[in-house]
Amino acid sequence: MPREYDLNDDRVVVVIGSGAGGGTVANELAQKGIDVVCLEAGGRLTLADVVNDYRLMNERMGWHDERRGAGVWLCKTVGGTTMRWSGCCPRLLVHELRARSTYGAMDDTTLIDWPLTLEELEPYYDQAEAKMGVSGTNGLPPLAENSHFKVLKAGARRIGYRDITTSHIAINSVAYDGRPGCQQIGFCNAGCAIGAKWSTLYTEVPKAETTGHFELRTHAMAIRINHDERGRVTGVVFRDVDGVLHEQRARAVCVACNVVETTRLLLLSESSLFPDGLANSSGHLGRNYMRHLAQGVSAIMPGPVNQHRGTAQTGFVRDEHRHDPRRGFAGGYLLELSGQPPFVFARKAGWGADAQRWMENYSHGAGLLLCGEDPPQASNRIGLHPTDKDALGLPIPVLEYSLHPNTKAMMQHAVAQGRELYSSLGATDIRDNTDQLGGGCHNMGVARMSADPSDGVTNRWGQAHDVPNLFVSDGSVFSTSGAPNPTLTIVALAIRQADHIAERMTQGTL
Amino acid sequence: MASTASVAIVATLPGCALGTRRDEVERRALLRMARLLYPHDGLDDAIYRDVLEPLLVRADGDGALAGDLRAGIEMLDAEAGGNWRSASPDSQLEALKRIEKSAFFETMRDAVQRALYEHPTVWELIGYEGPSVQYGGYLHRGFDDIDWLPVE
Ligand SMILES: Cc1cc2nc3c(=O)[nH]c(=O)nc-3n(C[C@H](O)[C@H](O)[C@H](O)COP(=O)(O)OP(=O)(O)OC[C@H]3O[C@@H](n4cnc5c(N)ncnc54)[C@H](O)[C@@H]3O)c2cc1C
Ligand code: SF4
Repeated sequence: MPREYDLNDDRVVVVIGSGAGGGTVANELAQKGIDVVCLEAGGRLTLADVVNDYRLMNERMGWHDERRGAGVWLCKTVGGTTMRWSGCCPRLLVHELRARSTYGAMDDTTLIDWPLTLEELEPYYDQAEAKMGVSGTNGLPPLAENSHFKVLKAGARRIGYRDITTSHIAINSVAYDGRPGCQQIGFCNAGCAIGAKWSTLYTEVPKAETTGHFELRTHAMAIRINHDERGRVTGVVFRDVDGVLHEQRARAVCVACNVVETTRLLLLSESSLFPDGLANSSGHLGRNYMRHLAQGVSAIMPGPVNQHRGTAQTGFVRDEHRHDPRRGFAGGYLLELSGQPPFVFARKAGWGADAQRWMENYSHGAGLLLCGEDPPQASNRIGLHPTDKDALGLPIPVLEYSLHPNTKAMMQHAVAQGRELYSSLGATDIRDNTDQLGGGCHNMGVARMSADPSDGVTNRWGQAHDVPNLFVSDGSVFSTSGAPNPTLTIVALAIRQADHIAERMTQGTL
Repeated sequence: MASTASVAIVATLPGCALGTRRDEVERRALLRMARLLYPHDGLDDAIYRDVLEPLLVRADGDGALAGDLRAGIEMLDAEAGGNWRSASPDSQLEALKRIEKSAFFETMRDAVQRALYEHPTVWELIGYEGPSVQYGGYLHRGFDDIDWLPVE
């Protein structure tokens, strides 16, 4: 039974955002009997609203408020970008949490180690995988291999790779947790119409509602976090669907707005006590923004592939996911399957006769996405436009981002491997992405966890160094990016954070 | 075939709407450019006209965009040493190549690319089978039927 809390009820924990991080931390808290109000800027779809139409689904669930600079492709809807994501869930490796110690000092980076170890994270990875129905874990079989994956696998084997898998995807390989197995519909990035792919819309959110300790407020856009004179947060100001402002009082606040909006909200919450933005005494808020090497390689194969049939990202190759400086760069990358509808495949088409050849061979097309570690740089940052405002009257977020030389070196290696993989099977027309910055799907950093409060914004629990009852519960807290797609780690950290919050409440220290 | 009939209807119906909005010469130049950008011999002009429609509608309400389109065509005319649309196909292509870094070219390419490859008639031509949820996905429709891969 969904609850309704009074705006003046200051016993509630306010969670901002209902995506991977927010949906998870909210449900975990509610399961423990802690009262939660979740503010979500978007509306609530049902599975019946999910149709096989990318344009329409982007209208229904995409984030359309203005942003400048490097592009991102995120969602404003209950479930956040877990509605649009592909479900790849690799774990971080031990060296990735010790990036500074492993890679040494790298020029023009602000590399640090995570203030926690893989050993500490592992039990939470286990819980996250069980929660999300990750293939190849918890007795779930690997995902079925579609034709497109078989091409990736055959090419990978030909060039000597051995660690090729359709495990570690948060899509039901068989019915699990009240949701059906994948039917190979193939529109994963437009929302999964049957709910086989994990999204908080139909897992964490309804589960939280059954506890009687949770209220979801939709079309509720948080625009400011208030605090008292001691510097403890006291409530969240949000704008409702009619544009009316309210303040929800709070005992503690968890921010999970997906990096860009997390930064904007904390910057907008500046005050005389926090003149550079809430919890920003270190000056690191908005900086060390990371988004992975994200480069595509596609090819026209000698026979039909039908990349559109079935799961878009069925699996990946892990052989390059390691630290081996002999390759000419620090850190590693994954080669992930990437099935694309024609309008996306067309981005590598060029124009004229080139485009004709490429697109008329769409049925023979195959593609992969290279996803690799991107070191933190102070100059990669999210800030607010000094004068320009969006339609809500809020300063427009500006994303400054450029690739580090290490990422460029990795990209060269990765693209060469990807090309080799497809040419080993007889592909002659092989193209890589011209978008050197990737799609901005994976966002990390900006409020990173650090052992030393002068090095980051949050501590090992994602708790603000400056503000004891303010938590960050999304990818903003990543100390470094590692190579893996971030969501499994976001969910694991959110579960861990909820445990910590509950413990502190029991101790009477929160 | 049904598609030929519908093509004929599309060609006569909204054609007049286009004609009233933009002068015929300009409309034809943009249409020609759309085809040269993504040349599929199997597609009737009516498809390219469909695809351009949203851009032209936008230009109707956006004087700056309308001006950019007009200036773009003038640029092509200049590159072709007169009337771009009546130049030979080779000279048309060469002129296009010379302006491929321009904002006008980008505008046209973005508009045509996305709309063209979202067009169901084009899907048929390129072998994309489209929405599948109403058929139970591709689970029983060949999602793993590849048969040409080398056996190890
Ligand atoms: C095409 C695509 C494919 C992807 N594939 C993968 C993958 O295979 N594996 C992987 O690990 N990751 C993948 N990702 C990334 C994944 O979607 C994100 O890592 C994940 O959703 C982040 O969770 P989050 O909670 O931080 O943000 P989100 O899930 O984006 O949720 C944030 C929520 O906060 C709300 N919000 C924002 N600002 C406010 C505000 N001021 N007030 C109230 N609410 C607000 C938003 O509306 C949104 O619902 C993919 C992303 C994309 C775009
Ligand atoms: S392929 Fe599977 S996960 Fe993707 S949309 Fe279809 S049923 Fe959902």
